[in-house]
Amino acid sequence: MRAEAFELPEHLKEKLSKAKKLEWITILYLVTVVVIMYLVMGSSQAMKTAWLEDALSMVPAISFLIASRIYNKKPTRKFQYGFHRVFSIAFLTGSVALFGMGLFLLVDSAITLIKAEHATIGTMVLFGKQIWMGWIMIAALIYSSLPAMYLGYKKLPLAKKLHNKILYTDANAQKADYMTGFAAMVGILGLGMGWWWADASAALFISFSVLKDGYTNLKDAVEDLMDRKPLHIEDDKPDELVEKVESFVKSWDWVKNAKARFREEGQVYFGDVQVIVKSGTGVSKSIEIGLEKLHEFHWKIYDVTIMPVNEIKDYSEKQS
Amino acid sequence: MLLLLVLFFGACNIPKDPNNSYENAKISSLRVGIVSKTDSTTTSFEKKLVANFAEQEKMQTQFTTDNETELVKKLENYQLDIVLGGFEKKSNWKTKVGMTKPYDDNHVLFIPRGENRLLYQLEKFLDKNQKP
Repeated sequence: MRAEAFELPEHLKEKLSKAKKLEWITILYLVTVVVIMYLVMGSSQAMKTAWLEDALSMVPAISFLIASRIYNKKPTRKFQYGFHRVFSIAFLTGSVALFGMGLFLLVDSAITLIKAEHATIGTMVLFGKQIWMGWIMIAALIYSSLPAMYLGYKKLPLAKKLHNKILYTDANAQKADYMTGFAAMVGILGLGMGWWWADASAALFISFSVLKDGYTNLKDAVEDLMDRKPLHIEDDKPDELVEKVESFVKSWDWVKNAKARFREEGQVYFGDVQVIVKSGTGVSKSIEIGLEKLHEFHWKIYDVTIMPVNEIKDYSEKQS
Repeated sequence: MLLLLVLFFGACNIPKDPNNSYENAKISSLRVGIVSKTDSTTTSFEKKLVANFAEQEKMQTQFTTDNETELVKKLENYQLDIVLGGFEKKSNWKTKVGMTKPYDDNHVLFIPRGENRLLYQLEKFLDKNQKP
């Protein structure tokens, strides 16, 4: 058990501050996007959908910034395991928002399509020239897409290195942003071609993608909080670190057999290792040395209990 | 790339009308509904405005006078192209009709929803004929 404040290893600290900086840029950028989109959206359903999508994609960025101020506080008398899980909570919040918005947009766009509402898009005068608002909307969408693409691309590798899901969700939100932007552009061009249904169809398509992202993240967030075995962020495969810890413990000369289990607490892992001790070992001393070794093993292995047992109980064989 | 897109689509007359109101008005006539019992100065100004528009576009005009509800219903069914009656931009009909931008500070003309080419041409005309 660790009582000091959590510290990332040096090479990752730098990554975290880079991630924080990127998130600030993201929020500032999204604020400008949301204002511009609101000003030009008019009665286009696709624009409305894309706008809400952009507004919502601030949630992961904001929750990341809040969580990153809290997660490494020292454990207190009240919170004796520290505050690592704040990232899991932020992740859950972000995904609930995404999922809810997906549902809303799906229903809203479907109603627009069924009622066959034709979007009326007027004109504006810019530098003395009359311009169809559709073109302005497309320009706004380009502004909402290209920088988002770049930001998402920058964040993805950081999220993987930090094992930080909310950052990963956020990088994915940026991907959703530019996909949305492109779909909305197609919708508005279609509308310009006189196909009234193009706009609402694009909106429907966008809402499906938002809903899908929301569902995947929500499922992941709930499973995290349900203490599922740690998974890799990028491909959802079990993290082999757990097996590595187990074989590391097995390799100690005083250990006959061992079994490890871990769960994710935000960026780090908590868990326990059952060990069958060889006879003639000074158990408590060996365990203390063992804990030290495990703390140095990997930064993610954060809080471990080593428990001497006569027989190893296996909780993991039933596949679910 | 954007510029190319704009040029390309600009060339094929975007926006178009889903129900071809503008094209049909050129072929047959511009069907205008006038609300009965409205403030006569506003209405006559609007009537003149639309007549000027039709003249500029070389369209025949066909005026119908009726109450608001009937005219809006006809507009919704694409049986009219423009309805005028001193409507304000915050009119309660907002969800049923398309509106031009105000030709003064507040007053708008109604068009069928989504007829964006007609709207484009009308607003182009209104911009040049702003009421002082």
